[in-house]
Amino acid sequence: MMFPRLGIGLGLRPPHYPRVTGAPCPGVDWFEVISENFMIAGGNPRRVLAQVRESYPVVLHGVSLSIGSVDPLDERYLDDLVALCRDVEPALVSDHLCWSSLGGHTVHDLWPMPYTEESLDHVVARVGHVQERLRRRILLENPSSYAVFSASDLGEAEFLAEVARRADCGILLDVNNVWVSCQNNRWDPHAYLAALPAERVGQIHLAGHSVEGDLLIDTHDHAVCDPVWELYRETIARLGPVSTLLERDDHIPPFDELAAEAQRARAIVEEVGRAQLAG
Amino acid sequence: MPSSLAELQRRFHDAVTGDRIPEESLDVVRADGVSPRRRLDVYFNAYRIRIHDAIAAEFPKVSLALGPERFGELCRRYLAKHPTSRPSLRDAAQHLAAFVRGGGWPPAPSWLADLAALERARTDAFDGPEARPLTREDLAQIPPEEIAFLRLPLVPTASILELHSIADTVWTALEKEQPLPEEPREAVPPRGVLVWRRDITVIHRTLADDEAEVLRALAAGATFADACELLVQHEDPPQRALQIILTALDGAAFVAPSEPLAVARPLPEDLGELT
Repeated sequence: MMFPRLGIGLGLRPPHYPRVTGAPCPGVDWFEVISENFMIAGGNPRRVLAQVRESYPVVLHGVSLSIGSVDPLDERYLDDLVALCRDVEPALVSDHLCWSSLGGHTVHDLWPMPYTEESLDHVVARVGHVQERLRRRILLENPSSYAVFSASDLGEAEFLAEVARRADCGILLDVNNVWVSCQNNRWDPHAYLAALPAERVGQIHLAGHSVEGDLLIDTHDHAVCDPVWELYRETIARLGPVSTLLERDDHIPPFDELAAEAQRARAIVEEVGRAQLAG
Repeated sequence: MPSSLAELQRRFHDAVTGDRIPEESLDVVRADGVSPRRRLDVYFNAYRIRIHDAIAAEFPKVSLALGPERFGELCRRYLAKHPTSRPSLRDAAQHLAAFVRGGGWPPAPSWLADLAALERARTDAFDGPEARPLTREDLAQIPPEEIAFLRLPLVPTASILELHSIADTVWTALEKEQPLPEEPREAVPPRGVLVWRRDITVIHRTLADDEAEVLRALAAGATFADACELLVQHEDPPQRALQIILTALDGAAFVAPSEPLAVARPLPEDLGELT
């Protein structure tokens, strides 16, 4: 197996720090943190992370690698990520298949790549460099997208699969993003899942989104919707019990409420596993 | 002829981060049932909202004091002058205080630049390196005859700001949800504010003039005796220096040394009774 199977995890967010450090968290097998939020010298976030790491596997998830930008990779950022990996010893390290900087301007958003052969070569080379710096495989997450470059001549899933094969990296499959991007861009979510190499999917994200007129927006501020749960069930049936994280970044409910929602993912993993054993 | 990756990224970037999405940029993305302008609008708005929200989180009192409309205008003007260039959103508004101080936002109240500087210093303290603070027990281990030549550096999260306005009063009013104080009619004399982190709590305290002078000197490497010399106009310089030091010590503002406390040189006997 290329990546560890960690079970069901939650994103570690500041409103939950007291709860997470104050008592055991039944039903939660691991935590994911946003890498950039912990690239700091000290203070409470680093203390909480160290305390959580004593009891749970931790996964680092970045938002600023800008793997697809034509700007040079930010070596100072990579230095910080290397140092954080050394401190945390994460089970997995991921970022997004996107670009978020140009001409030295960092936009703090996850912009879609043009899906072309030139982009593919570019991303593969940069993933190779990052993996050399980190001395480990990284995972790239499919972004939620609201537009497709006119110049794209490859599908997103095809592009992501090819990056993973050529660069020998993993895929973080955000099932909500699959749903959002497929609805927005008129793609088939089932074909999307089928195009991915199962052995390279090392982690799954689940989240909620908002409906804004004719587009779905990946806001992470709602519970996971039923179509996404159904797509998750199909994903688990295809891929097996891949480490799954429930994300919430806005309108964050109490920790135990979120942990209870995550149990729906565990129930699906168990149901699919039982059905496959019986079948 | 297909466009290069660099050209495609430049066109998308310029469309989304400019003042408006130009008509000639729309063909960079497909329609597929939704207009390209609508699609690019999602990125156009998200770029601004995300950075605006990050600045608001970093400067909650500035945001509160100005209200949503004026704070939004400040952010727009700031971003036009200082596009973000660092991977962390925490650094999105690292130049906000200097921007306001430099006249970047003319309708600013007199205290706005200082309030932004105070909030930025508090954030830096929140994220700063860990250090064990010096305690009275540590100090008690110093032989009395060596106290005068003791060096007392501040914890690494500490900084001393010089305010030229009532920003500290404004901060307190906002914290207590009280009405903002009126703008002073005359220039406000400069005064120091010590910002630091005690355990996980960020604190700031407005300093008396002599206190600010002594703490700045200690932070720069001065000894207790040097501090006393700064207080010669005081009735009892050693007593006042000790009072200043013990206040900071009890607030956990001095760093404990990794080795025995630094002493500059042997102490003359007449200073041996300072403790």
